[in-house]
Amino acid sequence: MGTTPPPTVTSLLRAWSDGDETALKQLVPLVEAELRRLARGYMRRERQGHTLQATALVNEVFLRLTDAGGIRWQDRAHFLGIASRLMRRVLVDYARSRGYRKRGGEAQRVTLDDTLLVTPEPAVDVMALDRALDVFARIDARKSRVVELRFFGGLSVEETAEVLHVSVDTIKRDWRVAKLWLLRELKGEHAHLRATAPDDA
Amino acid sequence: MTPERWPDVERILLVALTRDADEREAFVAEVCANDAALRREVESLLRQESEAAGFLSAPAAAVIGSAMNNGTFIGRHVGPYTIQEQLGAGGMGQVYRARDTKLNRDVAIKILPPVYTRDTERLARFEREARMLAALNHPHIGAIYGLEHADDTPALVLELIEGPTLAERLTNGPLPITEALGIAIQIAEALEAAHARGIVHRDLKPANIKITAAGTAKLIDFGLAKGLGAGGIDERSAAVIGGTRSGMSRPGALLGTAAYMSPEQAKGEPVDARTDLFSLGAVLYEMVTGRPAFAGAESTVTRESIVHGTPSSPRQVNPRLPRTLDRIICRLLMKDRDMRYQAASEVAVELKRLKHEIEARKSTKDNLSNRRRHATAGAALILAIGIAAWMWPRPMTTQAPAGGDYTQVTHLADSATSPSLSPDGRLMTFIRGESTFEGLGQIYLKALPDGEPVQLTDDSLKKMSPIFSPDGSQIAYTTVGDNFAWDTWVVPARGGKPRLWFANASGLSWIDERQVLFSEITTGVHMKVVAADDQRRRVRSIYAPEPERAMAHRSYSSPDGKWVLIVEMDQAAWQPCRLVPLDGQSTGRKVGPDGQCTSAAWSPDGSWMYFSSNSTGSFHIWRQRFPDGKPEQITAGPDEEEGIALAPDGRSLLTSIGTRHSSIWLRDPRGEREISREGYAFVPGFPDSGISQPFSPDGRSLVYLVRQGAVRFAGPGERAGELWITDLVTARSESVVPGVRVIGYEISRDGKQVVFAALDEHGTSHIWLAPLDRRFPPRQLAALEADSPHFGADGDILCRGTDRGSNFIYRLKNDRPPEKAVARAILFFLGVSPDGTWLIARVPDPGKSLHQTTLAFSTLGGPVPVCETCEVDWTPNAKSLIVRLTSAGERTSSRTFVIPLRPGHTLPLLPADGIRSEADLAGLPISLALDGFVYPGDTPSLYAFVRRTVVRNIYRVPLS
Repeated sequence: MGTTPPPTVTSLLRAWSDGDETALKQLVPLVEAELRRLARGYMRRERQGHTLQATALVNEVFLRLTDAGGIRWQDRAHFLGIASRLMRRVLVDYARSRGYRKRGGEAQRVTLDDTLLVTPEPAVDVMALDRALDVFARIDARKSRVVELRFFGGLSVEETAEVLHVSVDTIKRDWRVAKLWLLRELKGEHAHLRATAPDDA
Repeated sequence: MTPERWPDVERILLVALTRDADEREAFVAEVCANDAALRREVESLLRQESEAAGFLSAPAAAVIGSAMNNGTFIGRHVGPYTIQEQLGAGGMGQVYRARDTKLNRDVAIKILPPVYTRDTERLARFEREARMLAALNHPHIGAIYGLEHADDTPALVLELIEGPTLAERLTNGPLPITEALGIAIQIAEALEAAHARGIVHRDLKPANIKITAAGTAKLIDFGLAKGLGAGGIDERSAAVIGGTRSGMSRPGALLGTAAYMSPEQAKGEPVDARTDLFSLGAVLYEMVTGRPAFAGAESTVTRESIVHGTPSSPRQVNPRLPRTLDRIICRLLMKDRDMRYQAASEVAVELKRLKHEIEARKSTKDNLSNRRRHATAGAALILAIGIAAWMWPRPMTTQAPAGGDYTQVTHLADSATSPSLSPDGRLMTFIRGESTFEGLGQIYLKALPDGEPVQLTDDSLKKMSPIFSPDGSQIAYTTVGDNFAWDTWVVPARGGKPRLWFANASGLSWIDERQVLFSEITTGVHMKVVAADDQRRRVRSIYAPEPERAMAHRSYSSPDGKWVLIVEMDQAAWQPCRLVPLDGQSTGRKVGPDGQCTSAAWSPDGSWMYFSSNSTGSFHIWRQRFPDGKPEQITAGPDEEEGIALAPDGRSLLTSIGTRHSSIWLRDPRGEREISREGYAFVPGFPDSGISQPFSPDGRSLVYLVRQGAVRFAGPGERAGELWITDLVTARSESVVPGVRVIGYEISRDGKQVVFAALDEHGTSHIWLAPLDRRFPPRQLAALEADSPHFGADGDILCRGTDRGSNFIYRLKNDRPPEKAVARAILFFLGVSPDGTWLIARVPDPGKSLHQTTLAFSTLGGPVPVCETCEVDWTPNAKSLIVRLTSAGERTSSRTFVIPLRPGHTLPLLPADGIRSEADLAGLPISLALDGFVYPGDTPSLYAFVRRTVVRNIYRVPLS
């Protein structure tokens, strides 16, 4: 009685990119563990004055997880696109699990600035951002994708342009507009036609 | 904004972004001149620009990555500290519990993420700041013990404060006033100490206040604090605390949490000590009202609202708050910091004084005498403004045997109803919810007198009548399901899972240890009272109300087990209470005052029967000596009392005292604001009267009714109020016909006259006409009993009048006798089209019994079906039709639609059968759809609405 070898990360990635959502379930813990491990190294290097681009982190995760030689991505852009999407899933799942762990299972939003110090940027509720991106995707799919690639994937403007096959200027414009839309959405300042009125019972 | 509009929005936005900030507004206004929605959309996006630079500036992985580095430090030693467990983490660092091996105490250690420590110069400055903050040694400030290094990573050593944050506490609702004051005083003292050292917190919020088990408040996270100039710590180094270079150039506005941020922070101006006082005001506001000062029910906090908006005063939210507290909070929240308290010490002193006063009052004087004074003053005022027969009826004064002072038992900003006591009188159960009948809410338990209320249920069932079992171990209560299922559930008083006890059993109470009384539905809605043992065996009928649609909802057996007091409804309304023998041999007789009775009780010795009844117009507690005494009123005043729980010694009772508030609000592009100033302000509507349009035809004013006090379920006066008009431009408000009890009105299209229906001293309504400039007194138009007045063509007045038991639309022309405008009998008269051609009325649907349909009648042709039971009106400028669709008669689930009209038309092309559902609107050119029951103005961004709140709390009323 032989055992089936576990599916490789590469095959899982490919299955997922082909639309197999169950592959993601197996993929996420692998990626998260690797991310953790790398993050430790990341911190050490930070202290030594090295800077580490998040892109490098993404790349590194995938290079470690996938047998570099064996993977046949259509092109580099395809890989970055898939990687960014997976990073989004991993990071959002992480934030969500963290939120539920905090206080006896009671949901609590995790923001990225729950700290003594001020953050260099306004708080980002990762889960809310994730939801907002889904909404935005229905209005402007490309811009939503730009944010996924830039923020979750950590891609540069140039890499993002490469993935989406548009110009660098377009990405810059998209990025700028998308941030405004998301900021507003996250604050709940909808200018939608459907307003709500208070209880008038 | 629909996705189809997005390309337009983006195009305009991108161009606007290329303009200088000061030119943008004009540019957008020009481009979007004819499209308010588009403009609003673009402007709301442009407003985000100031924050966009920092937003998403670091990739998610960089921010989260270090947080994911879980557990790295556990078990390690940092200086004299042994790291034990992780307490929390975020993108900015991880917090651990650690043991101080030298001092043998636990501390919290916060390990900073590398992104803040990369720069050695920045790190050095940070360390200096930390040391300065460490010097802040105060009992109400979470201490910073020092700075250590874990490997090369700097780690802050902090006082470990066990306990929830204030934010966590506030998720359970507002705090009792004295507790809130206690916390605010401690925080004010903490601020006083920090300010004395030149340190401003800048991010004071509930999440930064910890409450220890002993009840001590500690202000934490001084991390945002910046030194005041004089302390040698300048703006520049404060930015270093911010930890980023861009932070140096960016104003302080971005630091701090929006909801509690001061206007000067929101505007990016320099901050000082008074900034913290504003935030303290916002925190105190939330502690006593249970809701944030700058977050409405539906709109999220924006800096805009902090800079421009005014929150409802705390007393508007929670009318039980002392006026002094209201004043203190309002002063703390002054936009102009010169108008605020100038020092934390001043605030602390005022708060302490108030706290002492309240505590002193608690044990001695208070309620009833005050309440009587209010009632009398109210009557005097009414006399002064009243006009002969139209006067508001003077509140009935009855000798009240209640002696001494009321004691407040619950302190909620929402509502507590239906109190019931455990047999020993030491525990109270109640429903936290608005309704005194069956309504959404949860069952709570409170140990008397001062225990914290404990929530026992957590579900979405409507509930009624919680009651303790005779041994005090269980609480039984009624639930009402969607399918009109009335069931009895029980939940352990110690807490636990509620379980269904008896299906089709409601208003359950115990006769003795083994027998219960409850109500059962036999057929349809016919609900009768039965007795049974606690296994529901040996069920026997006690009382079945006469009509088949009547319901006997609640029953209470006398202490000797011989009699039952019954609370019942006929088809539509509560009846007086009823006394029947428990042997079920007769249907008994009505007892108590002649009014609607919603609850009853017995004194423990069975000598008194207690009732809550509205026989004087609003609900108060009455009692009557068993069996044949005369009803006497126990409570009085502007509030209402419902629900009765007698103390075991018979010397006091618990009741829910409540006030309903209602106010008129306007929403425009600037946000929401309250228009009415006082009293219970409302716009009349179904089913009490026809529709009244609050906007004047020029759209410049709002017209509404105001009544003093809050009356409900009352007689004819219930639907009446004084007619008020508020000029939206000058914000000036005035009473149009002071002292007159108006139930419906309309302003003429030229804006010069108002026609209104007013009640006379018998509660009969007549139609009156008055000039708005009040040059002439109002004149009555006909002796006809009529309401729902509207202007027709040629200055005619149309109204609803009655003739031999049916309603008709009548035309009042000059001084001719009233004539029927439409031959057919109607139910309700909704209005007249602005050009006078269509009369909208609701009539019985001839096809289906009990159904109604709304028709537009015209001299031009046969009636046109409009809808079934919608409400129809026109925008002030008459260019659009307003249709409100209401499902199941609940205004809460209404939707309001605006349908632009073709030029020269006053009705759109309606479906042949009228609008039967939202689907029928598909073919119409809807320009605006709003959730809720609102009154749209002439532009899509403008509408008025009525906001109602109910506050009820349980009080102990002593009995003499």
